[in-house]
Amino acid sequence: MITVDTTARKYRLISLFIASLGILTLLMADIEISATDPMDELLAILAGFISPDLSQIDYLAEALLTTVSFAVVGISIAATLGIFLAPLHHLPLVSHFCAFIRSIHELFWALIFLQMFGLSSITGVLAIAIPYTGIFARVYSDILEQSPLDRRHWINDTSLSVWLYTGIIPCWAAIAQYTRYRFECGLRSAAILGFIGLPTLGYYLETAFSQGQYNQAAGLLLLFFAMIATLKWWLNIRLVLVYLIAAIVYLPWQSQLEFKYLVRFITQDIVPQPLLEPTLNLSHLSQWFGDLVSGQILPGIGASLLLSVSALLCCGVIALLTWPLASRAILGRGYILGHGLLIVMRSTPEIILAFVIMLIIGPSMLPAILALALHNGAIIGYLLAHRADRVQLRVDRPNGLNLWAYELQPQIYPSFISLIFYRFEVILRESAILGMLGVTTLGFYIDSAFEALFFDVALILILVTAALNMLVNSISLRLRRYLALDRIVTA
Amino acid sequence: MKYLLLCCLLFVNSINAQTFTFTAIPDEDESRLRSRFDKVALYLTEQLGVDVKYVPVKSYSAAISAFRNNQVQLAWFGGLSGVKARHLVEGSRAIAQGYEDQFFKSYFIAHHSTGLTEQAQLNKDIAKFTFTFGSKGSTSGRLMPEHFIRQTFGKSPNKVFKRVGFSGDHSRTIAQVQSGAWQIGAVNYKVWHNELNAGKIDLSKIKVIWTTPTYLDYQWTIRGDVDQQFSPDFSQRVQKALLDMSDPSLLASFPRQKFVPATNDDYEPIKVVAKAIKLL
Amino acid sequence: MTQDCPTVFNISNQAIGFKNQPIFSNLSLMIKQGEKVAIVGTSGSGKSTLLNYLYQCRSVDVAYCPQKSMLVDTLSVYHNIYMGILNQHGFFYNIINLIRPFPVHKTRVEQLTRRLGLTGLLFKSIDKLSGGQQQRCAIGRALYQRLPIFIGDEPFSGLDPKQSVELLKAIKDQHQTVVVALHNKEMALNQFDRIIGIKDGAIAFDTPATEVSSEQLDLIYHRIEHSE
Repeated sequence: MITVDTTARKYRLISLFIASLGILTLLMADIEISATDPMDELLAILAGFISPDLSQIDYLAEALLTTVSFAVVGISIAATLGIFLAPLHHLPLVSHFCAFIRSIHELFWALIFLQMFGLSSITGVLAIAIPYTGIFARVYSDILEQSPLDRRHWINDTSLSVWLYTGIIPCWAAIAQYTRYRFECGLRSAAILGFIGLPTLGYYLETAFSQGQYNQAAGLLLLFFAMIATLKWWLNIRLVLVYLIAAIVYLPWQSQLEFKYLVRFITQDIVPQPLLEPTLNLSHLSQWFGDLVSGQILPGIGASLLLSVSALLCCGVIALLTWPLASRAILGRGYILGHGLLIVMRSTPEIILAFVIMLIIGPSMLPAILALALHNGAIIGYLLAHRADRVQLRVDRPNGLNLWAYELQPQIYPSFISLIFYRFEVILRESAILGMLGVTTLGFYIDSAFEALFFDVALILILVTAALNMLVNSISLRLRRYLALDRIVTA
Repeated sequence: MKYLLLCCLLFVNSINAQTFTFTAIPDEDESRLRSRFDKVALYLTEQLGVDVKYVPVKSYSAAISAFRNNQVQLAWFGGLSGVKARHLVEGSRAIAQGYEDQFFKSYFIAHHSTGLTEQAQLNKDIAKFTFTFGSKGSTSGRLMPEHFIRQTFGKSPNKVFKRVGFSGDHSRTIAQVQSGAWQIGAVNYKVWHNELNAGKIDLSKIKVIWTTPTYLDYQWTIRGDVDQQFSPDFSQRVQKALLDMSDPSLLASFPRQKFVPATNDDYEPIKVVAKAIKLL
Repeated sequence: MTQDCPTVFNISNQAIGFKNQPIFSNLSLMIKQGEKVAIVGTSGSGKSTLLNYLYQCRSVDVAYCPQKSMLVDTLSVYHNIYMGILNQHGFFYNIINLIRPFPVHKTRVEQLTRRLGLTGLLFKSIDKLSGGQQQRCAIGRALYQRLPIFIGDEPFSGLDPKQSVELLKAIKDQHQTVVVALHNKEMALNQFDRIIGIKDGAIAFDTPATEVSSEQLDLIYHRIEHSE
């Protein structure tokens, strides 16, 4: 008997594990499809895309500049802090801190800062800078660990120049490339911050979309796609400093908010209300907290996990199906079409994807699952295509589908699994913002709490979300170690 | 942390406020808010003799936060958001409401596939279907419809209906019920008529099945400390300016025929309902 | 003995290499069917470029074995060897074989692995093999194609001389024409009929193995010792 001992088999087993988990959650999740009659609405949306219109939008240039400026300043701060935190990321305290700050979605950071700084640029920039710092610190540290030079050099020697010469410079290309990719994500985040009122593209997009003004919505979306698609031409790494200075000068920094309101937010608003009663009533407090746990926290955690795991499975399937479409090695020049498709898929805000899908299949958890899967699947697909095109091929390589099946897919599968593990964290974070479909994720309750101005409840729910994220993160880290996937950079 | 400190420093510089600021979220047509309300700001500047500025906000909660944090001193609130804002800001007062807001109502609308017809009472059969509210913080899209549902069924909506959602917006409620994604929805009656006139509604697909009893909705609310901040009779002058507003192009932004006086006490019933539903 | 055989490769006055910067500016070379040719030269002299070019000339008839084994790490020895004949089967056939190997190929590949000294490693993935084992697997991939011509770019590097000779025998048994780039001086002299020396983008000498002078070889191998 010949024993089977292949790395492919290990990946097959882990894929089977993820798939069965995903199918199990899909079976448990509420994925009813109801008959709808969406043609009129879909035609209206289509008509919008046929005749996009930007002329009706006030202050469009301002929104565009604000979006870019938020992203430039936010990402610059995050990348700088990330570089300095990366060498310390092996310390549990630092890695937990980073996991914590990135486990809170930028929209929730923005909602918190909105209470502290109002609709100011500070709110927008911090909402991007903080979670991205956590992301950068982690990924930079992943990259540094693969530094050709011995890691101990820059861990034990605290001098800045040793760290610079042995850590940063050898990895500079990888760091720059990752930062550029993240800038695209930062643009997306900046745009989405408009959904809660910051003056970015999302502000107008949300309005146009919810009012059914689809030509304006289409115009804005197309503008945004164009911005992302042309990124590599206008985001020159050498011009970053120029952009940064321009953005800082451009953004209005003053906040009309008085200091006492900041103090009030910290000392009163976010403190659980029963604790603020003149006499501490323990039974009241425990009842308040008990209601919160049974009414929101537990059902919220359940729904969030169901949604995220189901979405993860679908996301993996979509990534595997889409990456060959954007691969130059497989499609030659045709890759540009797939590339465009992936840009559209990953740049359309999930909420809009979910809305359109819901029109077609009715409300349930399914539109949320599909929206998350399409968006994240497209991101993974894009990264995989990028990776596949860097695989060194023999001159006598097979071509077409054989190339895909025997050469590229097996070669990039480890990256795929690694990306999937990392994406779970992201999906869980993003599942939070799809509460509008009536899917009662933690995010649904957080949104409700902010809407009702129950900041104490919102803060507790955010902390629960963060804890859940960190738990998932540490499980996935262990799995990655076990699978020796931690040697693959999760770009 | 050093950024926080930096921000705190920025605050100190920025309080030179002799600008009177207001915000408004109209219940329909949220496009071009700034250019529309900048005209209202101009009108108020002329009437009050101080610099008046309009700040756009995206949601009821953002409007309340801005009001509470003195970023705006005057706001055009919905019934629920006004009650909440006045609950949070001591001394603030409702000073005017829209003429139509004295007898505001919501429609329950249903997709034709439900087979439901218009009735004078809320039809108990609606429990079989899926149901969507508008925005979570809306009076006409959430608070009052939920109140009447609770009154009829004696339990909360998510225990009544097969499924409950929040579309986020009246126009979206209409679009989603019309497409059959949701079977029933609750919507602001003015938005319904507006979209009907605009030809966006196909009555063969979607229709009104119930009209709620009337209640009070939108109103202007002003902070109590404006009299100290600006001039002793400032809130009265603001009230007068609002009540005197007669230019149809200004009123169309809200859109209301005219404004009539209002008091905090008028909104007591809304407050009771909000407390009962635990939104306050 | 090869005088009357048909020509397999016939290059005359060709520029080979990158478009703007050819490595060979003007190359002429003829190889006839049945010849066993060793190509020797310093690293960087253009051996790989030449072999690559030869492969491109008649890719249908050539079993190619590139310099670094360049196999698919995660897949088994079996699949890597099978990859040699992907083009001989339809896509769905290949896909099924990827998931569940066909017994007929399994038997054949297994026999081949025995000859290659890879017994029992049929379903071990490449990343779990030693460098030498990987090298042999790469040769196996070429052998499994059963084509008339073998082109190898240092296919025996990292293997001991005894193994190398055995493998070369297997290669010669199965292919009419063999063109191999080599490091090993003994092997070139003893196992091939013709030796082509390459230096600085040109053919330095091209003689039957029996007639190669030690000066000629020193010209090449001296340089190798220095460079390595």
